[in-house]
Amino acid sequence: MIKVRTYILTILSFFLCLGLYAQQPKFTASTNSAIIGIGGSTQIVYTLVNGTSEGFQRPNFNGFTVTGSQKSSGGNMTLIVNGQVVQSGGEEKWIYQISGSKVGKYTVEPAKVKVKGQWLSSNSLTIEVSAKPPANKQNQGNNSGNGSVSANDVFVKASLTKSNPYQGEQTTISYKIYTRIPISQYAINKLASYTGFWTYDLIKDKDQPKQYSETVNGEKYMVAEIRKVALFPQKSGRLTIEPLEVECLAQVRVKSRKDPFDDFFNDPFFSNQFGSSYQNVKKTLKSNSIVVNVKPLPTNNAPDDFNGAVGSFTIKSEIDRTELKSNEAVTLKITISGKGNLSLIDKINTEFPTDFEVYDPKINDNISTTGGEISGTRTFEYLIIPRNPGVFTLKPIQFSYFDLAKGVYNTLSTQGYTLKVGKGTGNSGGVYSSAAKEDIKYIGSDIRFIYVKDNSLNKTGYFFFNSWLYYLLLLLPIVIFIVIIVVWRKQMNLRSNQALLKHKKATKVALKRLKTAEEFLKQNNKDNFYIEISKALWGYCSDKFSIPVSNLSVENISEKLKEKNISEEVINNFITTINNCEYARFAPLDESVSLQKIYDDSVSIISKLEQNLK
Amino acid sequence: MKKIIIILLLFVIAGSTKAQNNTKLFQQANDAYTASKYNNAIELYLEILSNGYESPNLYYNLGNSYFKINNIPQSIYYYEKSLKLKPNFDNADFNLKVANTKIVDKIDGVPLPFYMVWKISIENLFTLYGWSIIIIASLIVFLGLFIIYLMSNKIIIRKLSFWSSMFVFILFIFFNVCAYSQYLRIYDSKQAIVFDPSVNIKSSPDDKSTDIFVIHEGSKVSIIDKLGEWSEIKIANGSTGWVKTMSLKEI
Repeated sequence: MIKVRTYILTILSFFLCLGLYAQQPKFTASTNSAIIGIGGSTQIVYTLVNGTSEGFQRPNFNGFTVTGSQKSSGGNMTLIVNGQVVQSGGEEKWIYQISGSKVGKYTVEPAKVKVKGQWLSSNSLTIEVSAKPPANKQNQGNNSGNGSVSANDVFVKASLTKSNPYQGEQTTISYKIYTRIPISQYAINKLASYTGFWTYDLIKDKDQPKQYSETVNGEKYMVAEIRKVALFPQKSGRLTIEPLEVECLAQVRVKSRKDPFDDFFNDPFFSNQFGSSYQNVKKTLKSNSIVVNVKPLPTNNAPDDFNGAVGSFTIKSEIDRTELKSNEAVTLKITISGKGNLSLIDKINTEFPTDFEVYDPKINDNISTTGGEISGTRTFEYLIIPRNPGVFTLKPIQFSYFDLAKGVYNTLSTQGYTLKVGKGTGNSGGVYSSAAKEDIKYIGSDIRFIYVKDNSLNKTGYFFFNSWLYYLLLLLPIVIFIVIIVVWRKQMNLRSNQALLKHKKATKVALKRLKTAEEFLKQNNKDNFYIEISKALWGYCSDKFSIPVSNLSVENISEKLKEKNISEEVINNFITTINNCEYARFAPLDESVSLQKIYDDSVSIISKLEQNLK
Repeated sequence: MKKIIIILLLFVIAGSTKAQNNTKLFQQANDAYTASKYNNAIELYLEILSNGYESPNLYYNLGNSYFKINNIPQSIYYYEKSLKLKPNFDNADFNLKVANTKIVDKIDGVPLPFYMVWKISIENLFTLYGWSIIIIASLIVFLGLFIIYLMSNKIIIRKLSFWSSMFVFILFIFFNVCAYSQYLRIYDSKQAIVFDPSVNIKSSPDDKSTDIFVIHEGSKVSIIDKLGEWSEIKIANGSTGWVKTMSLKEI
């Protein structure tokens, strides 16, 4: 008010300069903010109008610390009016920057100034230091050091409609600029990050914020809602929303310290006439940060197909036809409407017969934000092409959501349909066979089923590998092997002994046979004589060389005899004798070879062999 | 003689009734599982275990039941037990992988060199029981062929039987190596599942020592050493540390 008054006064003094020349000196105190936060600072300005100070006495500023002081004098202004030099009353200022460090209400005592030998007192001021820390820090303006905006002049406040929502429940955050000074423009510097939320901007047109006035702490503010966002928490717990940063240009009246004369000529609007003007001060405002306590959804009784939809919904399904031919398309439309996190319902649990070709649904949203609440519809449009004729059932589609009003889970269901698919004109299957050859699609991952039979129950901790039974079974074949070998060896020994025996008896047997032959010779029994002679010779060789009689031949015997170093003569003799016997047995006898000679030869052969085959 | 036969018969009968009882329990448990009464099924399966019997299938079914009631550490524990008895148990391996996706820790194992992969896959071709049978069979074949070699007179048969018996003998040794290696790997190395929701792994067996890392329930660890109430463990990526034995359950 004081400012306004001085402003008017200065204007008046300009127009009625001469008449008002001889004004009384006036000494006033003013501050730019009567309430400061703890640690905040304010300016106290003592202004003397229409007078020249001869002395100044500052007050004590009890309860405050003086962080800076300066004196400025608007100077005695020289004006030229109608060719006459007129001097207007000057203005002198004492500016103190003070900061409060303790909470409380303090009175700043009047300052005193001596004008024309008289002490003038200013008014006293009351300054309140509040416990609330200053909401923002002051940034000094772009081109001016003496224009300033306090935290109470303009600030941004964030507020939440619901600070304790369920996971998935909507809560709305709105940012409002509170201002007591004119603001020419603002821009959001840094958007708050909404980590853990799904967001939806409720104010689309940022240029036209809603404006109204509101009284805060007894002060009237203009309020503009600059941003409003619907938040859907995606997880439970304490979520913090970082502050929003707004940069605005505030219009602040500043007092000039420049030479008034220059200003006079420079400023075409004369607004600087008496050392005051409006100046744009850039100021960065930060909103408060907000903590949201998100309640988790109840975990018990949650339906299996619950997908995180929270709110209140209805579901509806439509089908364009139920009788069609194969390879024709049918459209199934499922509409979920209601209030809540509609946009987060990205899938519904549909189940179609396996040989239907189903395309990914087309999703249409119709979302309105009336009253700050997100509501509307979301439509899933499925294009289905049955590839084979038949009667198919489209199962009802289940949709579960958490009902906020009742605090329980709710499952909705659409109606089911029966599709009658007739035989189409195109050859069914054949054409599309390539499409049917797809990789197996894994719909979900679950464990495999249990085993219903078990034939391998064993004593705990028992395993066959190291058991005595295992070693026994290993040992058994070895034992059997050894037994077999031993028995076989014995058998072999026995057999070789028999051969030895035969070897030894060979001569005896042969001589016995020769004796029988001799008797047959005396009886002139030719047939038997030859048989005995050949038996004697063959048998002798068989026993001597351990070759069975059936395997004997003239060739292998002569070979064997050669091995034993029997002379050629004996061998030849042996062979002729045997041959003669054979011939004699089966063919008409060659009388030239007498029986007696054969007998003698045989005896001599055996005796010779006997000598050499010891 | 008669007495011995009677006693033996009694043993057989007693054994078979016990086995029957377990088969019945197993059947009931399966029915409970199929009816989604998993807690019930678990009780019945555990009863068979407490009777002193085990089998890969029993452990597998227990693992499934625990999985269904969302007790992942227990289910992993029983799958591992099942695989210990039957390393080539496909379904248990599959379900274990599914269960492992549900635990907190995703520990990337140190990739094994290819020859180790081969070795393990060859070892796991058969269970220990299977290997035992194969070893016995190969021994019998070897001895049979050797006898043929010894007794035959014909040179071709002798040659053939000798070399084939040598070949079978080499196989026999190879099978033994496989079985013994599997035996060592499975029965001699101690492994455990973490049962506490989250466990700090310490640098030394001391409460005040530095925490090196944190593992969570359901993770599999190998026990290297034990000291008092502490165990030194190693996880799949090779990190080691000390943990209270209480937090673990040995497979």
